[in-house]
Amino acid sequence: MNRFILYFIIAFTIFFLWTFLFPPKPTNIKNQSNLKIEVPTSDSLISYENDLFKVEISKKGAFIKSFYIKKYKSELLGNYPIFIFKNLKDKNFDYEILQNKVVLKSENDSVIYEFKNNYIINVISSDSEIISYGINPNLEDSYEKRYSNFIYYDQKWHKIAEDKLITPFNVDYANFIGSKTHYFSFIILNETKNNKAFLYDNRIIFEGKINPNFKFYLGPIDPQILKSIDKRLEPIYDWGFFLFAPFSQIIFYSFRGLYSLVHNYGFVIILFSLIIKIIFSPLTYQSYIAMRKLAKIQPKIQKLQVIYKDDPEKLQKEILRIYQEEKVNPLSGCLPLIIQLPIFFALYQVLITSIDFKNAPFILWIKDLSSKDPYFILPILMTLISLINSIIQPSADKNSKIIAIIISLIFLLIFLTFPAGLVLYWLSYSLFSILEQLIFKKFLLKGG
Amino acid sequence: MKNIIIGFIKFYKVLLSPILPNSCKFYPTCSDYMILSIEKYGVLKGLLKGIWRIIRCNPISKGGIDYP
Repeated sequence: MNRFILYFIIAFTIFFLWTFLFPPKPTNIKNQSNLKIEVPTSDSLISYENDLFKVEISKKGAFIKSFYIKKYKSELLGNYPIFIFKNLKDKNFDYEILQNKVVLKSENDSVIYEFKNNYIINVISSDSEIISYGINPNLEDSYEKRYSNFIYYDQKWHKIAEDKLITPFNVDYANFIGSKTHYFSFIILNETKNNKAFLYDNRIIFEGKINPNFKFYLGPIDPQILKSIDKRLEPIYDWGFFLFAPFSQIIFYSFRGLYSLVHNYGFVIILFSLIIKIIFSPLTYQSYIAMRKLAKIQPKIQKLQVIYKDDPEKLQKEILRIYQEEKVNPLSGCLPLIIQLPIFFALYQVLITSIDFKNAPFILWIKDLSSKDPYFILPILMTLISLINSIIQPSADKNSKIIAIIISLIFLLIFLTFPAGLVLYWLSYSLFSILEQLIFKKFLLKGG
Repeated sequence: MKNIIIGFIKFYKVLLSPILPNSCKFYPTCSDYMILSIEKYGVLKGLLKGIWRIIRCNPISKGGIDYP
């Protein structure tokens, strides 16, 4: 019993520490480089928009001043342009908009922006020296704020440690350089030379020489779009722990498919839990068939229950022996339970990582499936169901019932902070299980 | 390593097992089997044997008494 209490305390502490530690602290870069950076201001702007975004370009300096993504209602730049041309910043440009191009001209200099339909922007410029300010690090607030810089070399993405960036740091060896927040990313898709990276005003600044004809990505971290542009870009999206990553991928892509049918991610989650339930229902059906046979050997089991009243382990062993003799087994086995674990983890990963769930509403009070239920209605419902389940569990003795109730209540505390979408999945899965039980009982057991 | 993994399984037994429905078709249960099998065969082979046992513990299998 002492051992049990010890385990219990350890379990309690670990779970609480985990929930407290879970929200990653917002990146607050304390140490800044001493370099002074000039930020050009602009008073006269050119607007261009297409189906995906709205962009504003400064006439002075020909830089992109603001970038607004329509689908996610997000402005990706802040007080800084995405990048400037070092030698053009004081020049005034005339402009012309041609279909998907903005052409800027000033005496001998010119800059052409070509906007593609996948957040790729082609640039042709007479200046090859750029200073990039990257994406706005304060784009997202609260726990989602995970700003970081990253560079691609040796066939892999690497993060540059922040303390390395206090003094200008050369990254000529990188194939791509960029920065990202939790949901959005900026990547220069060409090599830069004689470059340096450093921190300034919480941003990672890249300064260097680039091919005057270059392209960059500025948009959501959407694995489908990134993959379609370049396979090397896909790893920017985090599929999670490698064992669960295949499950995350299945969930992500099947959710997109289901979304095109129902247009609400809350219903997508409910539909998904129904599909999982249906996939496993032939297996559950087997155990209901077995339960019918079980009625015949019930008297034998009752006798055993009297004999081994005080030794539950021995009782279980003896019951299993009878099942084996009679070739029945009403239990569904551990596999259907264990398989829920990777689904659960992968769903969690997708909910907190995928931009699809950013501010994705369900119905009524749930306005964002990726954050917690504001009134805790779903987790409380969830706990009520598991409490009822553990109370009506027939085989359990009084002691283990009390333990089950305590643990259900601990889980309530954990579920309170979970994304509403995850609790919704678990809740609808439990409800479908109860429904399935009722259907099987009605049509199978009565008929037999 | 061995003790850490066995600790995790015991941890699961105390924390999660009570609220999940009683479902194992075997004796010893899958979690006990996992512990016994890691003690007998070491971490790698023991874990693999334990995972194979969980896969066998499905609604179609007959269940029964099965020691590692």
